[in-house]
Amino acid sequence: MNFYKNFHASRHRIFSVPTPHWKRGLVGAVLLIGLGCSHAISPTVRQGVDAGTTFGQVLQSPGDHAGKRIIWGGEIVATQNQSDQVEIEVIQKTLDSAGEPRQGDNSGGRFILMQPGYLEPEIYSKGRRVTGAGKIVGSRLGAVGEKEYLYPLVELEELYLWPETPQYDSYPYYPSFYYGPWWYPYPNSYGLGYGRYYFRHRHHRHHRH
Amino acid sequence: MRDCLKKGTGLLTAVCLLVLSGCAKVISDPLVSQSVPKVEFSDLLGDPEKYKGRTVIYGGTIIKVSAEGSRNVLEVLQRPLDYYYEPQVDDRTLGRFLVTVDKNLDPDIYKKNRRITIAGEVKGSETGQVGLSSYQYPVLIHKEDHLWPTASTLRYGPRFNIGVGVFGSF
Repeated sequence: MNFYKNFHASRHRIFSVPTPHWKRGLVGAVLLIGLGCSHAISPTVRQGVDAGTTFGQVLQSPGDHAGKRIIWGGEIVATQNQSDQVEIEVIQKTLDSAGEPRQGDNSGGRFILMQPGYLEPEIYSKGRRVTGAGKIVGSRLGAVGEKEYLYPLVELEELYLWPETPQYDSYPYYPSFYYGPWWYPYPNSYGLGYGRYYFRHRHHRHHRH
Repeated sequence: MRDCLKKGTGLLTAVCLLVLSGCAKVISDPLVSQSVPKVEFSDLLGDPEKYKGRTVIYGGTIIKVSAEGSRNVLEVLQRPLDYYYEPQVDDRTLGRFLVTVDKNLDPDIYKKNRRITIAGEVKGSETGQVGLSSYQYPVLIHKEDHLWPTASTLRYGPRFNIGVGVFGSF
């Protein structure tokens, strides 16, 4: 009992140390600025973006929009390494204010992102989400299934891969129903409450469909 | 009284051993000691021939198992290992490597995306292809491996864990 008394007493002391007002304000300001800046693409690249150009317009006539800088994103269909460059085929999704592709099935179509060098196809794999900034350089006639498809081509200046649930074949320790807050039956190194894996993956699980 | 104490000590030792064995590494001690000093994967990628004959422990996720005559070749995407040599699956990877294995690997067990830790001897390098891009793989000769369990290979049901830790830390 003594232990608990002391525990609470010490905890209380820690949290009741008065913080100067200017320090609190500073923390608040830093947090706000941090939130405001959290876009997938850097501010310098974002500046030159042609905001009036929609994906639909470009898809209609890619040639007319060559040279325009855009930020597009979506879900990877395939990542193909060529001899000296890599191409990512993407299913377009609308982006939110942070540049993150929205979940869901509505898509304007497909496009191809290109950049020099190599990207690991096992990381840039099917279903992962990317946001890319770059210049429209034209189009390429390809096919989706049997149907011809005119892909807009984008030369990348910046690319962001959105983090995701691990694709490996496991949740290594316990089946997922163990992770609920109400069910944590054994004492172990993480204390009572939520499991480590719940915390690690909880934000990803909402994204699963 | 004394007997009682002795018994108690014995039990304590047994419990300690059990607890410790829970943290056992997945690669045998001789190989672990041979792998020191450690060859970093990034160094190996730069010049595989330089480290020929060295014992290394790497891990990652399986990309492919293929048969070449009597031996099998395992293609692995390298991932960082933790203290227990367990591959950490996030987006950090330095690249791929190949492992030649003398034993038979069942492709239904050594499946794509399974996590694996491998102790092997550096053999050299081999040029292959990823898509249309040529790729220089470091090649290891298999000595030991550990396939990490997946949700489907774990038994469901009551489990029992003993652990030591600090309240609220994870």
